[in-house]
Amino acid sequence: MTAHLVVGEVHTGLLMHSSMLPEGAVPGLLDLVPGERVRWAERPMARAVSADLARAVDCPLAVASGPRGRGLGTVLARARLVGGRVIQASVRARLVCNAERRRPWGHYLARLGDVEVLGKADAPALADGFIADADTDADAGLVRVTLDTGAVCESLLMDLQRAPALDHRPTMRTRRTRLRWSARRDPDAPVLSGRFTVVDETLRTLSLHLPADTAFDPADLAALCEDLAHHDWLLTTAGRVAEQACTGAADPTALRRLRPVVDHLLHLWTPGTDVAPALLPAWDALEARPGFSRQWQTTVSRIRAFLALDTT
Amino acid sequence: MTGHDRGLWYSETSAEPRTESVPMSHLSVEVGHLYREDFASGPDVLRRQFRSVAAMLPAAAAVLSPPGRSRISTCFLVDDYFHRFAAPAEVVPLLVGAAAEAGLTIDYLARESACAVADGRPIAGMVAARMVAPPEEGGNGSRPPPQESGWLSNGTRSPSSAATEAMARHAAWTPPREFTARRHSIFTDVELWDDADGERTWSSPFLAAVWQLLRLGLIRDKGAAPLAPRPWDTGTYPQAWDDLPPLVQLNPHAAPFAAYRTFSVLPTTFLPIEHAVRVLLDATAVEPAVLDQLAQHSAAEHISLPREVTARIMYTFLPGLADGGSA
Repeated sequence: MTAHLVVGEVHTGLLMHSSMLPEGAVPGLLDLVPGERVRWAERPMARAVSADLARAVDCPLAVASGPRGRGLGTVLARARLVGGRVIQASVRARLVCNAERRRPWGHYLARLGDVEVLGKADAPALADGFIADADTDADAGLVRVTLDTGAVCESLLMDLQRAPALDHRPTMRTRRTRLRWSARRDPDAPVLSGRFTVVDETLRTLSLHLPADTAFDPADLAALCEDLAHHDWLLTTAGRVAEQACTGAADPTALRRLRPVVDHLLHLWTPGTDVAPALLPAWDALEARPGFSRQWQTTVSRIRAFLALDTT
Repeated sequence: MTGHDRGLWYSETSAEPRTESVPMSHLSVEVGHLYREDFASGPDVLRRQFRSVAAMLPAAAAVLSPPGRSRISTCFLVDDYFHRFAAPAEVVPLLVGAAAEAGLTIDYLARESACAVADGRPIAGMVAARMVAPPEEGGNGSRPPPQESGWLSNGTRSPSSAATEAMARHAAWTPPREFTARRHSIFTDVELWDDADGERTWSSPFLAAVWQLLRLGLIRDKGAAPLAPRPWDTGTYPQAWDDLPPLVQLNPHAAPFAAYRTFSVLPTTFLPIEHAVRVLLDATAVEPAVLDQLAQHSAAEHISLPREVTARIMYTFLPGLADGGSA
């Protein structure tokens, strides 16, 4: 059996809380698995990540073309909180092709995060199928029957946002974004390559091709995608607010809209945090084109200039 | 959370994964399991049990531990959870004496309540939180995980008769189905606990599953080993079970309590319980970091260790031993 494909999804949103969640409340919020630790770090910015929750799946897998596949095993879900404000649910699975038969359930729990593919579906068709399957739930009335990483993210985020530790009074109205991603080993890829697509206002997809000698750890790949999703959400959210507020007069309404961005989001820009060195070329490429940090600087300058306009 | 390949490293301890390693024997042998009823039926039953274990032990060691200097530890479980009886001061010397007559040494004595809560750690609750039921066909992550009903099965249940009657008088009965059936099913549905008066009572198969995981060194609490054996040096044993540590080391020269594999000699009446234990262990997601650590340690000793927990467990069922208490 071969495992050259990891797929996943990250949903990112603002924590339903009026201020930065105090450090002491973070482990409680992210304590999803009794007996396991919440891991956290302070520099360059406070962030915490939960232990992994396992969810059992036995369902058809989307394929772009060719033979179908049925996936059997577990996906892993975890939550991440950045700067005490931005909350993420992240789901990942390693698709292991060419499984011969269904095995006793203990086999799958000894390989958490692996989904074994029964049938002849190959990795490229599964990777493309998973990405193409991202927006099918936009079609009203369709019930997804294929692997639904988004639903796992949603239910996890819903549980987190309902936590009693939160006051449920967020300082600004924002929209959740979701990033659906696939990463596969590609013997023909000399360097890390791929495609990041902004599909619509809230959906993004990322297809990564990794050279055969790159370490291929699902948790590392998920960490890269969580970092990208966090920064894409910041860009999307701050950009949207700036677009609405900075176009007219610097009146109290406009300032009221901008204030929370300045107070709560501007300091959360730290690209590459928690990304394994072997995967940093993904960030380098996105910095070159379209230039995430350049756009962020432009947005920040625009907001600051507008606020300065008011005080002079 | 990652550092860099070379040059100056930065790390924060709180961000690093941490898994304490525990000393491991090759084989953990359960020489007996004492319930109130067994104790009441007198020491002859125990003697018979110990003689049987002594006879089986060389064969089990030959099958399950490497040749040469193998590390084998023995353990004994006393029920102080469902029915308390006698006192350690009475029971422990009797056990040790009866074992010695059969040429056995009891290295460790555990209280069954330790499988529920030990030194304030809710061990059974931690294991229950790690259970992942096998998926129904079509489970794609969109349905929330099953409500905590306190039951776990190895297949699809037959629809409840109440619901069927409500739907239609003529609705055909649907049989239950075992997920990995070979044509015909052996469907098992295991009760994990019951709640009464705000208190949870874990079922006997559930605690037996925890007991296997403890013996296999597969449980951690926030990275730390949850149950370290404590020596008992004073020679006299207390009058109350609560005054005895949850896991006592009776033999100062014993090999480590936890082991790569376990072997249990049990009365045949335990067969359904142990089948249930296997269903539960098959649905328990042991922390991958712990499985990885044991895989490394065993490989360093040139021992091949199956990744599946149930493949690390061996039993012998003997008729005519102590009947065992029903929980």
